Amino acid sequence: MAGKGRNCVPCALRQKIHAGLWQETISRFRENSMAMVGLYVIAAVAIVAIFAPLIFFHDPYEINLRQRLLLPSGAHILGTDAFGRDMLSRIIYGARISLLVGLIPSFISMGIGSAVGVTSGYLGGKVDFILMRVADIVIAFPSLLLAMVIMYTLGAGLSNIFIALSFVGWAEAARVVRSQVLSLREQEFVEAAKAMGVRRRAIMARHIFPNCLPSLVVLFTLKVPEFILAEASLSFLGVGAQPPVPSWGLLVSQGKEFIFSAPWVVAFPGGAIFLVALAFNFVGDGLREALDPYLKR
Amino acid sequence: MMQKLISVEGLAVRFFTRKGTVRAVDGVSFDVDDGGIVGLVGESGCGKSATALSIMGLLGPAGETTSGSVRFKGEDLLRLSPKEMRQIRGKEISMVFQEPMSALNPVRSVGEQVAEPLKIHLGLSGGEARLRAIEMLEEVGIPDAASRYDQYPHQFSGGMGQRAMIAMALICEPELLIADEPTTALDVTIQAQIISLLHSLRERLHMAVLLITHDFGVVAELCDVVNVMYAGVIVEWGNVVDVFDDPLHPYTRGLLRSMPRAKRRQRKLEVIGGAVPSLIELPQGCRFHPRCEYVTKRCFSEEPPIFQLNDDRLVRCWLFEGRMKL
Repeated sequence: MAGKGRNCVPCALRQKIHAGLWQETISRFRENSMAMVGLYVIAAVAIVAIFAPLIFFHDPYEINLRQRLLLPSGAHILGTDAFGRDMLSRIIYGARISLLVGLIPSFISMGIGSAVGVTSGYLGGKVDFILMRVADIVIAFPSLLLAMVIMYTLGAGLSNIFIALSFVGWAEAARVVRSQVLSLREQEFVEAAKAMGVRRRAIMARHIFPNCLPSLVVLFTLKVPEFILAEASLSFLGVGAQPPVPSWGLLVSQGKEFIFSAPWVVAFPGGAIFLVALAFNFVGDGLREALDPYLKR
Repeated sequence: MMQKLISVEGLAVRFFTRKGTVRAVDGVSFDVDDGGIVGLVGESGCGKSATALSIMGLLGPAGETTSGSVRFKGEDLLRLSPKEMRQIRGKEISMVFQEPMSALNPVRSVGEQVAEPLKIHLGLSGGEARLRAIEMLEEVGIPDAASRYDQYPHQFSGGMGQRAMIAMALICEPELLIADEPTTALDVTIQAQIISLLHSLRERLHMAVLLITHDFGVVAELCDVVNVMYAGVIVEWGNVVDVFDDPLHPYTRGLLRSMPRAKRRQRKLEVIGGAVPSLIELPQGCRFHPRCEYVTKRCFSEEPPIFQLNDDRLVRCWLFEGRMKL
């Protein structure tokens, strides 16, 4: 009995068996080259965003009307915009906003969604019915329209973008979590926990919720680009970030008048949005594949 | 005379399904003495597990205990509030399940799960609970318990998992352990180890065990007293030795005969003909009559009462009419 696990299994295999759930996921993730490229892109953007003040050569707010709409050159690598501001600096500074706008509402909506989903799925009955109908209403609404309505009500500004996007995003997380909880709550380990005298709230928080984490991680990485794009759309429509804040969406919006005369003013921020969104999607897909054996379980 | 630890009286459990009401347990009575081991034996779907879940108050939304009482140390468990019941579960009455791999939470470390009852019931801090849990894991025979503490259930074998489940169930030193098919999902060699483990732990902790199983072999190894259950009722009760030597109820006889034996040369395994009746529509009269080889006219119409043969022998069959009726 004692020696069974020790002697019979070859060393390499045993190490694989002994690696925990997350370690195994990580090693599977690393084999996925697309996902790793995505991860490097995100890491690079994150580093640039964090160290932005050390990196940029020009003040992103500095207006120089004599240098309007310059072509990319040695002095201005990505050219200048209609007010003669350095595009590279503005895009680097915009990375901060875009990452925050992607990450913070994702965290908030995952948090709210998990709480609602676990409660709804575990308690069932009337609670479930009411919470899920509210979620249905949120999901049935065109999300951009809903976010716009909230932005109009609260007024433009970065923190209101967080609120609006969180409000739009929680319902999907709640749905995903609830559907998992419905099968989890029938598992024997929940019964075992009850048989040990664990409280209902503790069963939800400590026994059921951790089992939902793999799918939440995947959902998180897919929500981030969605929110980055949503912010860009809101800013483009004029209800998101307000000038002169260099959010990527706003850069595209302000450059749209010059799309034919100075296309780089639109192309570079647009490309940045595209690149980051794509990178997050790669990472999300990679994570989903890496976690699949556990999700299938 | 040993004291009764738990006394189940006329317990009835119903499950309400779309097809109709399932009378899973229909008036079951038995006692477990302080420190005793009682077996509850029967085929799948005869109400063994429903009895256990009803005692624990864990029937869930579809099931309901419709009548009877479960006296545990003088208190009727069925009348306790959910909160009072929660304080008993895991501390005074614990349960071990059939499938260790599904009864352990896959995303929490085994040690954390074993230590949890200590934190809930005894209010131990994380560090104290950890030490105690490692001790308990060692006691149930898990080698290298300190490093095994942080491992996850998928890193455990079935037998090790069941040991960990037992450690979790016994860590607060309960007075009654309900073991629901604790060896069914395990290899035969591991079964024997788990049985001897339960045996030695019972001696040391002086706890009573209600062992639920379909395996007469396990009962013979562990139990003092056995209750044979069929279609929601207990059909025979007696000392393990007596029941094995001289089974009275035709169902018990059939069960014992259908066990494969190494000594006797058998061409074919004997079976009890027919199948367990649907608990939604039970046969009239004796529940066993459609499968009974001694069936008489009376069995079709009248349900047999319990006849008492002597102080520790009860049987529910018309064959013993004339003995003392209980």
